[in-house]
Amino acid sequence: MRWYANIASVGGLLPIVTCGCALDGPRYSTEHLEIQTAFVEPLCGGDLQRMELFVENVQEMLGLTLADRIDVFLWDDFSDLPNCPRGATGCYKRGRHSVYTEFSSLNHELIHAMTAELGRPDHFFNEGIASALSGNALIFKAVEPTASLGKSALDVDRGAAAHFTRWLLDTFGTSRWRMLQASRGREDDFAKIYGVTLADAQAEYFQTAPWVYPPLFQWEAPPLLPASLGWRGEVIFDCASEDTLGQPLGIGVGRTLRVTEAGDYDFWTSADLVTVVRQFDNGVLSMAEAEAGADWDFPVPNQLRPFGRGVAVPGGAIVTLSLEEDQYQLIITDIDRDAERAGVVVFPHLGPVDVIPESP
Amino acid sequence: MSAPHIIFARASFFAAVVASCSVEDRPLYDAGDPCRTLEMYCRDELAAMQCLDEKWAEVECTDYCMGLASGVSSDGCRENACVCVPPPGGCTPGDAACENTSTLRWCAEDWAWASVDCGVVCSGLVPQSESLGCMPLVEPASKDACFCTSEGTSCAEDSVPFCALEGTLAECIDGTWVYIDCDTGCTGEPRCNPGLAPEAGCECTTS
Repeated sequence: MRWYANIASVGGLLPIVTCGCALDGPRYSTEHLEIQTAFVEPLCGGDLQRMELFVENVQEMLGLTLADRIDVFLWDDFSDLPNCPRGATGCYKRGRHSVYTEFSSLNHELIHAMTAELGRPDHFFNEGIASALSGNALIFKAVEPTASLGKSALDVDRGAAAHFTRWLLDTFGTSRWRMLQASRGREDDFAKIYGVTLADAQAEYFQTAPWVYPPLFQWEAPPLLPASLGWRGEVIFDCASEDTLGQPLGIGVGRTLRVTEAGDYDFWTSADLVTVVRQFDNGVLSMAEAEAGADWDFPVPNQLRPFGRGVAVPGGAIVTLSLEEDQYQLIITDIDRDAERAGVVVFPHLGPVDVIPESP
Repeated sequence: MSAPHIIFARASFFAAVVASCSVEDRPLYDAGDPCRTLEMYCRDELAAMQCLDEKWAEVECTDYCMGLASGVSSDGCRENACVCVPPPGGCTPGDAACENTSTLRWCAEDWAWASVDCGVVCSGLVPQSESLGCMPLVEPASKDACFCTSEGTSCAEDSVPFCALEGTLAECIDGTWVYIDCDTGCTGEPRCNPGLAPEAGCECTTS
């Protein structure tokens, strides 16, 4: 893993001729990415590590080698992005080998950039691969995926295309997918490459595809260390550090919590908040848990992301959460970016509890 | 607690799936179509479509409800779920109500009431094994529960103090967990701080 320091804080002084836009925020350079931001708050070591790891992970998975760095123009809100269709949260411009995106679509657009050199197949397959590997869990949808064949990029049912594409990768491997990506991606191309018609492949998909594919990539922060009771640690808000994220809520330090026994746990932090996100390291949660999770009162009700939505524990409070045996990502966050350090403590809930029996 | 209860009501799921399909896509909700879900949806007022063995199948709500437990009947299909009615004298699983100050009546999976002494419930927990009695929950307010505490239970001498509540520190004194109010002697804002080094403790902040 290698990236380079923030090479300049241009502050919008220099017009960036190659991309047709100049952004106000700092610039960053990693091994595979040239990044400019539209916001002044800095990206931190963890942001850059996460992006770079994602690129390396996808390259390895698909057998790709990036010839040139990708120019990334990054926004932190849902602004109308220059060069993108109105309302889009991101786009990739092949001629400039540039991605214009806000955070939520960054991985998706990076995959477009990474796979562009192979070819430009039907949007169904092109959007399918970009959504399949972007880091979210993929859920089987109640539609015929191939009904999206021939549609525009915006009209493709991305959830269905992603789940189907992931099944193709898992079932037939990456070599044929690479050939498909290099083709026009039409039905006759598919039949030649895979040796079955698309309709027959879809029929097999309906028979054999799992209800969910877990995320293929998750950023892993350093562990929160065990203490005499539970876990505790002090984190330092050092933007240069690889465990530190500069976005989006403020500056945050990541920690990984490994819970080996399900139960109620108390969370506390002296920071502004700590977000807790289950990582499903043991595979995936049950269908019942996932569908119950879909009813959670959290934003981003996205078919691709029934998981990954966290709980925010406010600073200073002791909040009890029920945890399963699994791995959890904690982001200890300072919203105002003025704190130097903060404490975080997680311990088994040993205080009063209320109980309703669950079985006779 | 004998009111009709909606089982597996997840209208939002169905609406979300339909909304995400473009006009010409054929949603796969017919009998025999592939599915991967625990959700159901209403075929009409009396029957539902349920995902069984990864294929949609029609189920009469009468059959569905009868299959849950003996005596459970159907009140039709509404909001994408069969509405099942408990048998006379029965209940809906998850219901719970205090029978008296120390006994909880709760609804088991056979849709029948069962009673349990809160002392028995609490004695199965570690370390919250002392019963405070049967009391209403704050959320949901419609339910009661047994309340258990670790106060007064035994502990090893090397047990580490912990914050039992935001203003209460639990300390192991002479082999027993003792709850200490952090406001004792505090003229400012008392609280239990789990983050004190090397272990939790009371602190008193003045503004």
